[in-house]
This record gives sequence, C-alpha cells and structure tokens, in this order.
Amino acid sequence: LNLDLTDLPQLDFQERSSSGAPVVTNAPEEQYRDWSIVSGYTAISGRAVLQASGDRSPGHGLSRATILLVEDEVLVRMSLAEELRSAGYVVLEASNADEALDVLRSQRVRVVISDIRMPGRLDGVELARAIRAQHPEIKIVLASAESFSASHWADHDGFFLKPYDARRLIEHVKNLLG
Amino acid sequence: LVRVTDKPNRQETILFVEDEVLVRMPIAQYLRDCGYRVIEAANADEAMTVLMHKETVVDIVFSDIEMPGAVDGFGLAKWIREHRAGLDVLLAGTVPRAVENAKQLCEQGSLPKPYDAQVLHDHIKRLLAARNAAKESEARLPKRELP
Repeated sequence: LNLDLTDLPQLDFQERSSSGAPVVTNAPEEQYRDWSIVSGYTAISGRAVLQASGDRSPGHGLSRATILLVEDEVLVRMSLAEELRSAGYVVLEASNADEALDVLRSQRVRVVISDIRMPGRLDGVELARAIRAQHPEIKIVLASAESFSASHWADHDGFFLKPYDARRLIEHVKNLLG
Repeated sequence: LVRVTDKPNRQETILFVEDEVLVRMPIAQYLRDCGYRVIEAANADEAMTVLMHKETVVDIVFSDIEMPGAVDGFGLAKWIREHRAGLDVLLAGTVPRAVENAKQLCEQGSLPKPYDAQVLHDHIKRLLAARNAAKESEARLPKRELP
C-alpha cells in the first residue's frame, strides 16, 4: 500500500504539529496501517497518525508522485534518481525488470522510467508490456542507447535516446503527470 | 512546510548494498527520511562501480552479507579496506540486523526519526510474505500450453 495523501480527501489536516509538520489525525488504524512507509509522511507507530515529515519536499508538499526507475547501470540510475528527487518526486529504484515487478506488487507508482536493454528475464519493452497489462494507469517512459521504432508500438508514453538531457526527461514526466 | 531541524552543510551519503529489492527499497527510504543521501546498489559490483567513481562522495557503506555474484558483503568489505581505507563499513547478515543498523544510523541522522524501526521491520516482513505468497500461487497454476 503506497498512497499519496491527496488520494484521501476524507483525512483532516491540521496545519502543524508541535514540531512544525502537518499532521493528519483521523486516519482509521486498520485502513492505514501501512502508511508509515509512504515516503515523506509518518505514521506514528500503531496509532495511525500521519505526519508529513518536515521540509523535505519544499514546494511539493503533500502531493509528491512516485516514480519507479528501472536501470541496470548503477551510475546512470543514481544520477537520474537524484535529479528526479531534486525535482520533488519520490523515486524507487530497480536494477532489472523482475525487481520492478516486485516493487509494483506493493507500491503505487504513477510513472515507470525504464531502460530497454537490461540483463535478466525481461527487457524494458517486455517489462512495459507486462506493466500495461497489469497496471494500465501507469505511465511508461522508455530509454535506450539504440534507436527504437516506437511509432509501431503503443505500450509506452515516451522514448528517450541515450544520452539524453535529464531536464528534458523530467519535463516530460511533469507533463505526463499533468 | 516548516523546517524541523537545520540540515548540516553537506548531507552525509550512505551507499546501501542489498540484492533484495523489497528490503533495499524501504530501508533506503527510511534512511532518506532520516536526512541521509542514499545511493542504492543491488550487488557488490554495483557498489564497487560507485566507489570507483571519483565524483561520487560516500561516507558510509552499509551492506548485506549474503549476495549473489562473485563478491559477497565480506568480500566487499575487504575490497574497501584495500581500495578505500578509512571508509566506514557496516555489515548486516539478516533483515532484523539490517533494520537495527538503519535505526542506529537514523539516530545520528540530520532529521528526527520518521517512524519506529519495528514498523519498518514489520513492513518488510509483509512485503516479503506477500511476494512469496504470490510466487507460490503462480507455481500452483497449471502451465499453459503454447499455441
């Protein structure tokens, strides 16, 4: 379970707690037991009190979207993940398609950015197809060092030829999220 | 939102090495919520690639012990002693130990603890159990014949 607080308009937000962070006080314990793991927010253990965690998302407040980044080259993954975090997104990282599918079983993700050429059972195109079948609401952006005949294939929402400008990719993600 | 604590001039960086994504993801997130910059590596090879990258500053390496591949956590620690002497290395052989290490790091972090380490541990256990249940149920399904 991984939800943005914005998906739950029935929750009451008090302006600030004693530490200065916004607090949600009326979350039913059973329903939101797992909220502690939602990045940027805190459930005070066992009491289902959700607390936004200080100033870690300036300007992005309560609606940070989660992006899953799938990339087998660690330096590329590290650098793009940091750019995306600086842009205010929650970024989950997977080093191959199987890890990505494991993450998607438990986390609510708005956008997947995946490399195409990866070792393992599935490449990026096959991963995109699997995601489209199971989670049609997720936006998928693919990247590869080789050109890719994207025009014949509908299971993605953008393609970037490596090396690309991270700012352009982030702009694209922003547009996809509307 | 209002500042809770003043951050240090430079965020400390933890290189977290763990091959199991459902353990790596929540612990990395927890450490970020405590104020660290966290670089994730899925195995020792990735960790060594990061450590050899001159522009990337790492303060602490926190690694699983058992990992697939040619080098495990002990091998990585040995490599670090040889190539990056002076770098702090924390090893964890089990998930509870990894959570305990994360908790101790979190107590030294620049932000207040985001939630109890037990909550983190329970969450990881649920993630792993749900994944294992899904795999078992897939294995019980009759295999489909190819057309």
